[in-house]
Amino acid sequence: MKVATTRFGEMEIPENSIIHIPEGILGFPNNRRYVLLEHDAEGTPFKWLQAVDSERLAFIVVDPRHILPEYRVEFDEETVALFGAIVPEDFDSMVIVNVPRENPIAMTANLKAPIIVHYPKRIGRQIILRNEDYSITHRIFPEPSSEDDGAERPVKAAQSAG
Amino acid sequence: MLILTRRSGESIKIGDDITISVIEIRGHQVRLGIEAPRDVVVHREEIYELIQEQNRLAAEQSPSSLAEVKSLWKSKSVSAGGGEERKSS
Repeated sequence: MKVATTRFGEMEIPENSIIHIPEGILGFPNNRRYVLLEHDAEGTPFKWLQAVDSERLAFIVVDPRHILPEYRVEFDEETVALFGAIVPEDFDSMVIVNVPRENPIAMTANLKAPIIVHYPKRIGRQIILRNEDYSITHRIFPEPSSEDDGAERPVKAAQSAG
Repeated sequence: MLILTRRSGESIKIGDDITISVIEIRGHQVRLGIEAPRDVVVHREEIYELIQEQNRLAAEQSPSSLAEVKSLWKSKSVSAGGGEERKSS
């Protein structure tokens, strides 16, 4: 099927690649069908989660284990009820990345509210984890502490070169 | 709205299986203990608003944002000497 996107133009998407998110993503209750676009990831783990029915709506997402290797999703009972029995291997999770336009290095990932996807059924849900260690705005590149300021200079130089 | 006055250490029950206890009162803060079945989802009200707000911000990224993400990721991964970016906590 054809999917119109503002960022990538019109794309041909196999029907069976659609991820259904029956409750929508928080703040976007009316968009319930998404596709994962991986074509321009360039070897990095970041992808676009593109809404099928709103060409403008797309999120940058990443598998949270790339941010925090020990990341764990705990399924609450509501989620179990939505999916039936939970077989953890059937699930993948992704978290939404937010990149401040004026300061991209301060980009954050929402580890508190991952989107989990049950691949056999292709159903997804944004869940809120109880774990208080997971932040809604987790810095992907930790802020250098003030005592590191001097040592930070070479990194800045490398950045401006790239 | 039902309004009840409770002291520290007292509690209220909602139905048969939800208990909310006042654990501690200090200045303008109240610590509450909530006992509820596992299928009752309990979150601070503001967390929903924060996540919605964060999602809305994240929905406005342009392709150049992803380009920034990718180049930063690559340069940081290289400087960290491999894939796993952070292990410090």
